[in-house]
Amino acid sequence: MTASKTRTSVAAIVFAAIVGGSFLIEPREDPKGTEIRQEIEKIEKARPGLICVGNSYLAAAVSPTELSRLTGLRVHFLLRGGAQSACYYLFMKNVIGAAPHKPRFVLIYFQDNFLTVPTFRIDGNNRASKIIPFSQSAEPLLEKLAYKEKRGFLLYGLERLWPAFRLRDEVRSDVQGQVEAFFLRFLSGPESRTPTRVLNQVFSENALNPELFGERQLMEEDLSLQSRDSLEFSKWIDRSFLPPIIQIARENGIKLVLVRMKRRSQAMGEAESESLLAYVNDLREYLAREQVTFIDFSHDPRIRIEHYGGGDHLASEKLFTPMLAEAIRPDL
Amino acid sequence: MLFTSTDYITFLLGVLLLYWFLPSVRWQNILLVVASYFFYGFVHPWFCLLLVGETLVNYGGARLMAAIPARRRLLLWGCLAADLGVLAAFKYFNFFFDNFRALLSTMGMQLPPFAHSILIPAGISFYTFLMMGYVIDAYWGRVEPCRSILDFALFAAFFPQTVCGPIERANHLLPQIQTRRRWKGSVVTSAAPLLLMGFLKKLVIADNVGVWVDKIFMMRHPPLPFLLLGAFGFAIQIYADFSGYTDIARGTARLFGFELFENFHSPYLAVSPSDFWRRWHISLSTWLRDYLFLPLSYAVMRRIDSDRVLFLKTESFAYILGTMGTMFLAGLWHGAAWNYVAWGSYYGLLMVLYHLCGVKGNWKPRRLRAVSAWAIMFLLTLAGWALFRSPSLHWLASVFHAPRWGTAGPQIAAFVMMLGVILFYCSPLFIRRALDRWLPGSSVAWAAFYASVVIIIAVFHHGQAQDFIYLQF
Repeated sequence: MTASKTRTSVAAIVFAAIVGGSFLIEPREDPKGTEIRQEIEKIEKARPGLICVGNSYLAAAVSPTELSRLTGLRVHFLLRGGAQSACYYLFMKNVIGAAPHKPRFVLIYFQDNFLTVPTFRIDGNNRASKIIPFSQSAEPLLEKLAYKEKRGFLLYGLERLWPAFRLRDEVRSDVQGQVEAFFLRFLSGPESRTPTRVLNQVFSENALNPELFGERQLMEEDLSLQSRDSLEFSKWIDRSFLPPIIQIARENGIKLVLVRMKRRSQAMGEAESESLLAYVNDLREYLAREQVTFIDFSHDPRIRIEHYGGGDHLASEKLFTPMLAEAIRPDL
Repeated sequence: MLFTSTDYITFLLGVLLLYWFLPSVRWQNILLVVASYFFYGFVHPWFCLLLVGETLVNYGGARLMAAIPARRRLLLWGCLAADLGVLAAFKYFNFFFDNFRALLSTMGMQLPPFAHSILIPAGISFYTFLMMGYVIDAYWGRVEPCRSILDFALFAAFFPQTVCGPIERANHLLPQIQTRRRWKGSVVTSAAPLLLMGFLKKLVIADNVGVWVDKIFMMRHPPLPFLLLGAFGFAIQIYADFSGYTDIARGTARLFGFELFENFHSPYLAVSPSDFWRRWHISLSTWLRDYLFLPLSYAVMRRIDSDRVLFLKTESFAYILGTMGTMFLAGLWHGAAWNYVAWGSYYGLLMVLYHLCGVKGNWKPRRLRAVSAWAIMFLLTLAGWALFRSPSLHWLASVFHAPRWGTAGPQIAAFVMMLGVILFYCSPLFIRRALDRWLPGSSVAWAAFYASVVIIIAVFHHGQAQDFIYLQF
């Protein structure tokens, strides 16, 4: 064997040993259920009659205290910034469905076709900060509807075989968090500041340009929502989390209210596409059959462009909270 | 089809498997043409029509030049007009029309608003320049017009380089297309490091750093240190993104037995603007030099009889005109927006200023001068990236108009944290450079490095895949 061949063989062995070895290392998983327990405790303490499920859009648009005053119900918010339908499903199944106290109503705040796109915002930081903390150790429906659908055979198989790859979002988020905290400590000593708090302060909604923020959101949606004929309601409804969400509500004797919100583009007068209009009609009919209340604010002229903060955030609690209370009053 | 999608991996494996079992160069080329059109039209099949159209025009134009030498000039202009017409219609129409309309309105004339909403075909600037280079070379007699339409179609559409280059030259790629490629082990061993580095740069470095860059450039009014950090982050992001694409393109081409141009050579080590352009997007900068700058400069010199123009030597005057014209168009090539034009013109201006200060293209300072020249050039490069990345020139002007320094506690903390995270994600590039310098021949060290790269890609790739930045150009 020549020296060159020996070198190549040794290099191949080293390469295979390191990559192969990584298949045997099982990174330590965070204990499951901490956030679920915390949220259940909050519900037990608040004993709400109405739970509003959503993300930062809900937080920006509705005041829980005011809504409570106007509806006469105790109101509790269950939300995470950036959460979408996969996360709402986990909220319904593992928090609301599992809490001993059941609210009379659950309101889910959403836009356009977001409730029937099961793969939207399920990866990267979304997975680490929202999906995993609200999952039980086995979530077969989440795996089937969200991950198998999105990954395809090759990546999904690799995830099953390679623990480091499967837990990548947690590991990456952990390591990046450590790096951020290291530099924060390096600068300011062991103060009470956390990286998240510092970043939220510096990049608060007021600091961001609302149009650029909106464009960024649309770009992100484009990748997940527009690229795959996702406005065909009949194609996606049974592959989405909406039926199980309705099912969980029904099993727990909860009345479900879905609230579709007006988007910045609509407030700017942009017309909806034909396919979106058809989609919303189908959604409305479906929800009527399922006896779920559907409230659609997307064409409400009282919501105008000046009421918006960054992107699609309707930053006008005073305007919108009474509108919402008035819209849900017939169901109360 | 994106290089970083699983669709692409499946497509590549399928094509490779077939390719190496084919009995002749002709069948290999047929498969590659079919695969290239499949790749290019995967999302929007109509893009292929444009590629077919340009291929036929340029192939036919060059063949006719050989057949009717007396009409060569006319044919050249015909081909160039067709190529530039396609670019103008698809990429620049809205930009020119809007600006023309705004100009007329300043003179009191009104035109109704109009904008076509046709998608800009991916890679249109890249393959148009590739084919323009070919017809110009054919006109100058530098290449023999290609006889086989199949070979030329592959030259124009070869999928690793169609959408983001490198912008190949006929005398480099066509001979490879016409030669039988035979399987050997080095096909894989030479391609794998490029592919791994390409995926690492794009998925781990560019996409993770890009998150922070986006945050900064989304601010209404970032403090100046944030703008500097944003420009630094963007310098890393765009380098990792584009050179990552090039690495994957070159690695993929090697899997099929082809060698494509290198496009980058440590661009951030440049000591002058012209040095930067010798290291950054090399296939574009050499294209611009050969087909635009030199012809333009020589044309200016030929038209001026005297030794001096104003207070300049004729050569310097021609250099200034050629440089400014070329860099203006280089900026416009990147996109139909004023900040790209400003970015290109900014480099033109820098080159002219360096030239007037006596710093010519082959300038090589030593020691302390080299360090200072590098530091100055690096800061100038960051200023250029701030122009390039800013949402608009108005936004950038407003940041400088009422500068803020960001001295509040959270802002300083956020600055240091973001810098730390950006450097953390770049660390594999520094390790690679150290290996290159200290252990270039250690196969064990390299094997360990690339094995770590595989694991880093698996664990640290950003969850939400982003498009390559240069896809929009």
